[in-house]
Amino acid sequence: MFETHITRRGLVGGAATLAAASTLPAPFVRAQAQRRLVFWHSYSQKERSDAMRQIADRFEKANPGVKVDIEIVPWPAFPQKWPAAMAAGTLPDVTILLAENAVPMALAGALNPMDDVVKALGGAEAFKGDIARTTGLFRGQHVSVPHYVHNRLLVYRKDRLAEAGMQPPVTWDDALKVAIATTKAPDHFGWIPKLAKGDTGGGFLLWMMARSANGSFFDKDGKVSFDSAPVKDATAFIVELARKAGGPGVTDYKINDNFSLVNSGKTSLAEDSAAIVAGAAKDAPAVAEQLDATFMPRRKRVGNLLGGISVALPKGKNPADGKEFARFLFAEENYTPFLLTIPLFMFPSLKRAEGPSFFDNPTIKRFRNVVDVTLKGLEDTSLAGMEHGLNPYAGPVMNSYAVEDMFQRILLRNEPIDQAVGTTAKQIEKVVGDVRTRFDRG
Amino acid sequence: MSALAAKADPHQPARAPGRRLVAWLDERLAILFLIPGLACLSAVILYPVAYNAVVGFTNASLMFPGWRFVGTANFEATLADPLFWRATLNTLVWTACSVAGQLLLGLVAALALEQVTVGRTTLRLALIVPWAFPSIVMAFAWRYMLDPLYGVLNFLLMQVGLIDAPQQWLGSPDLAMPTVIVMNIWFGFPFMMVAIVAGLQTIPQELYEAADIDGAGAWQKFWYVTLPALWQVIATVVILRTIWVFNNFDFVFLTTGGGPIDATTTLPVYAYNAGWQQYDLGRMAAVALVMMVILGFILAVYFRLLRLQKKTGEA
Repeated sequence: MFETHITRRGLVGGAATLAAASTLPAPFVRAQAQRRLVFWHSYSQKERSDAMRQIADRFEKANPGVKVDIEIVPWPAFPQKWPAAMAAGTLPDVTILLAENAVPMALAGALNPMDDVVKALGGAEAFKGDIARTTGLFRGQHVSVPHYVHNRLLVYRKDRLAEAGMQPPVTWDDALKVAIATTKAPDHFGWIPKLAKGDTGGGFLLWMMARSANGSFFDKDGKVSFDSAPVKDATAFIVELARKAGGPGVTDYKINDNFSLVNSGKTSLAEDSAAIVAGAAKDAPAVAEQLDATFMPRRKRVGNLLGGISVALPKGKNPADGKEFARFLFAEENYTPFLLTIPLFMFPSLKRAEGPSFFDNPTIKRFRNVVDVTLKGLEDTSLAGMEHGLNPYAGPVMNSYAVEDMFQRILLRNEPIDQAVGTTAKQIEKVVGDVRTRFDRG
Repeated sequence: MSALAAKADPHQPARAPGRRLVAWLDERLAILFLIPGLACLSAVILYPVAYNAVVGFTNASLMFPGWRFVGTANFEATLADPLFWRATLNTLVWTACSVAGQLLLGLVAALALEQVTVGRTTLRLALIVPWAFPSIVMAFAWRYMLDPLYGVLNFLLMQVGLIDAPQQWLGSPDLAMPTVIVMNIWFGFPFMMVAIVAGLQTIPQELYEAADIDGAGAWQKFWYVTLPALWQVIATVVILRTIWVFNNFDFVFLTTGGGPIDATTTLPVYAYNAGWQQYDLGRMAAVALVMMVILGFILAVYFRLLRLQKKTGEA
């Protein structure tokens, strides 16, 4: 029989020796490892995350020696995650992000340019409208490429409009009349604007309406133009809409509440993307049968609002493979099948993807008018506050919730519109001023 | 032979460097075992606090690379902002009302639970239910229950004739703060209850028997026996809950986002908006430091009261 005696000193000595020995093979292990490509995306739904994994698998097969590690980063976590990763030196090689999130990353020097990728995809003109430029060009370089896009529409209930003897609204006046005519309180309301604090629903709606009246919140240099006739006009329209056809919850609701408001039939009109129709088709088929969409109502023009999800190349450890992978995402065998994993949620940013393989999808066919309105709107659209291209002001202004605060003061405290717009303009000037101070300094 | 004796012995042959290292490590084994724990504590507590303190004096931003020291500019901007003072007042109201409500309800629930003889364990488990769910689930459940269009609360209150029209429980500047406080009381009282139940079980039965012999009524037994015996437990849970509620962010943010207008903007929400919405990390860190000072002051008052109470009890 063997007898083993382990003294405390022997144990410590052994542990120290093992610890030292374990570091020896590390360089050899590293040298033999595959080329690792880190890819972040926020497509948490099973259909989309599965599709991303399949694309990554195909990329690995086409590029022996490359291993794609995918990390799903929830949309709300992204703004906090990338600065931490940058500080830790663990930025991914490729990421999916909200188009507007590329601005702070680019300013922080966290992104590699994507001009080569845009060129390989056919140049900016290969994309719909002007979206490659307005969502991706910053300081003369493409810092991101739109992966998929959508556009805000006015979704309406056909049955309620028919019951009220109304046509789909075209102008603001039409929209107000339709909203009032389709309100049957307390059962349902005509159009419930989403003006809750902590959400950008009010800011987005006001920006669309202000654009529709040929106004905006600020110019490309950050000069604030909020205290203006178009913004006051748009504010008055939304306030009247909220008071006459919005019901009691307008200051409670956020953009995401649209799904339950539409599916439950509580609202006859809703400003949203085609995704709201897809949601109804899945969760409330009877309601979906009654849904159709038109452009947002116009004063002088249609104020389209783009929703853009982009691909960017952060400064990870494998930039060469990252660039290849970004291109691979747009390859024909990958791109359209991905867009159709959840039909009506995602529309092609590339013109060439608008073909039979996209339009023959049963859901796309079923809601073809909604699709056509979306695609038409994408020809003249931009991100909120970025009609002149990416800028560092729009994000902080929208995220300050100054506009939602303004609507709440008007609706809940009866603050006069002129005064409320003036006060909000000063708040926006302060936000923009703070950003510009740093921006000008470089 | 001990390591010390071996070191002092001039006849001891010289040891190889490896053996000396092992001996050196062996002598400090206790310190070695403490290092991982201390390192973890430093990493998760000391480092963030120290880093936050430094960032509070810089213009660090999520949008711009690099940073420089700006002295007390962040603190001056914070203290000059009327919304900061509104948020401070909101935080004090939110904390005081929530903790008081949780304590009162927890105490009543614990005393009631002590009287239950059948199914006590099941009841206790049922009352802890709020703690079993993530705050995001509860916040959304409350939002749906309180919804002005399809919320069950408005429906029930209208059915029994207590209100004529749906109320905006979270959307009215006058109702939003009381509503989130009620939600927080519901969420937090089980913690108080469980702690007080544990405290009740440590009170010797003889004290109640002696009180009975002296002819004490139920209220007198509660006031002169139960409450003094529970004092330390109550003080501990009140201090803990004060810290947690004061720093609570998710419940308010998920239900009202700090609105309507600024009715429920508490200091954590204010700090979040500065840092993660405005990308101004320096300002957020400054607000966090001011919050630490305010909380430190509140806790100092608590501890002072506790000491006074202890002295009074001893006298």
